[in-house]
Amino acid sequence: MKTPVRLLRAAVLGLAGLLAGCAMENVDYTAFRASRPASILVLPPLNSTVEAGAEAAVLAQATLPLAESGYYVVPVAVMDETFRQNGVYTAADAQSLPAAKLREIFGADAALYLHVTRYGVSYSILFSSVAARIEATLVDLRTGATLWEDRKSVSESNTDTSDGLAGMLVQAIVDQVVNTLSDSSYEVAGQAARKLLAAGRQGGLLHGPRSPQYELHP
Amino acid sequence: MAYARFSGRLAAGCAVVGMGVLAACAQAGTMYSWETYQPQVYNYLKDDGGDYAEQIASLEENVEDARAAGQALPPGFRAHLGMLYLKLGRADKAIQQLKGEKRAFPESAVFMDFLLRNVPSLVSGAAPEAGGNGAAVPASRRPQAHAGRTEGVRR
Repeated sequence: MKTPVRLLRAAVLGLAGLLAGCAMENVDYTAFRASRPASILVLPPLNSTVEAGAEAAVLAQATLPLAESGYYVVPVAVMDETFRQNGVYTAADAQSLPAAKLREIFGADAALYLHVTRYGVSYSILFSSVAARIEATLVDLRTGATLWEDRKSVSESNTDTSDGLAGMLVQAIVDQVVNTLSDSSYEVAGQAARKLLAAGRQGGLLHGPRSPQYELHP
Repeated sequence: MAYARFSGRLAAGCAVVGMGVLAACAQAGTMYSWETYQPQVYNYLKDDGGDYAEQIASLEENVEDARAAGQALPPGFRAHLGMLYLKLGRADKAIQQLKGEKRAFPESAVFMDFLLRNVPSLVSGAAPEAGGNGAAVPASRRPQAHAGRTEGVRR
């Protein structure tokens, strides 16, 4: 008779764990909910690392998590090309353009301002480590209001235990990536982008209109 | 009997709730076919253009795979493919893709219309060299300079 009780307790704990995983942190989503953005323009990321490739790696991989979260994402390379054709060559220049101008050309509801603060592989005698750290701010292009901001990093030698199981899983993937792929920095940047931009986690983005989970949490 | 029916219904109810919780957390599969879009965007961005014909071939393969699997192409995919066709001077193919993007994602209408307005000036310029990179790109990268005052991103 003991076993079913124990099973039930395990099931309840498991369910509570799932719910906790879904529950939102105390982030203020008032402006985000009022804005209801459907499309996002991911501007060229600022890069304060010494790696020149960080910008391309992050920009190229920001679309998947945002699109799978239910947003239309303006094609990033076409955006980049449009900037160049109009004499906007740096991320800093692109990120300082007025919101109204961006909305006029690209028609997006919101713009995502990214900043890569860590990117690349470093080697030592005993081990190599690879890391990426990205900061993000989502701004409504119609009102200029800040809707959401957050930062995330992925690192092979991650000792931060606050990430729990998810962190450990990312860790495992990263370790595997380091061992199997030559362009590990690119892969880690993709992991960081997914961790940061996929909707539904604590303090994360809300789902967009194209997601089946749009406005499921009133 | 009544108890059995009740407990059965209870079990079913629990199962439904459980599934709902799981569905809210887990993402079964993806909404879009992600085979080559992001890697090809990366190739384009990091190599200052890269080999356009090769990128087009890779994306067209993804189009076929997505069609076979009944999966949707990601937002931006068609517009990116259209831009690559434009790089090779294939205006007809480019326009077809840009219009396709607009049809699949009405959210893109403003930007797609902006690009479609600029297609004539982009093709009338010096024909980009196939697979061009570096030196060939600047010529094709600024053919709409004359339109800069009206259509430019800068004020």
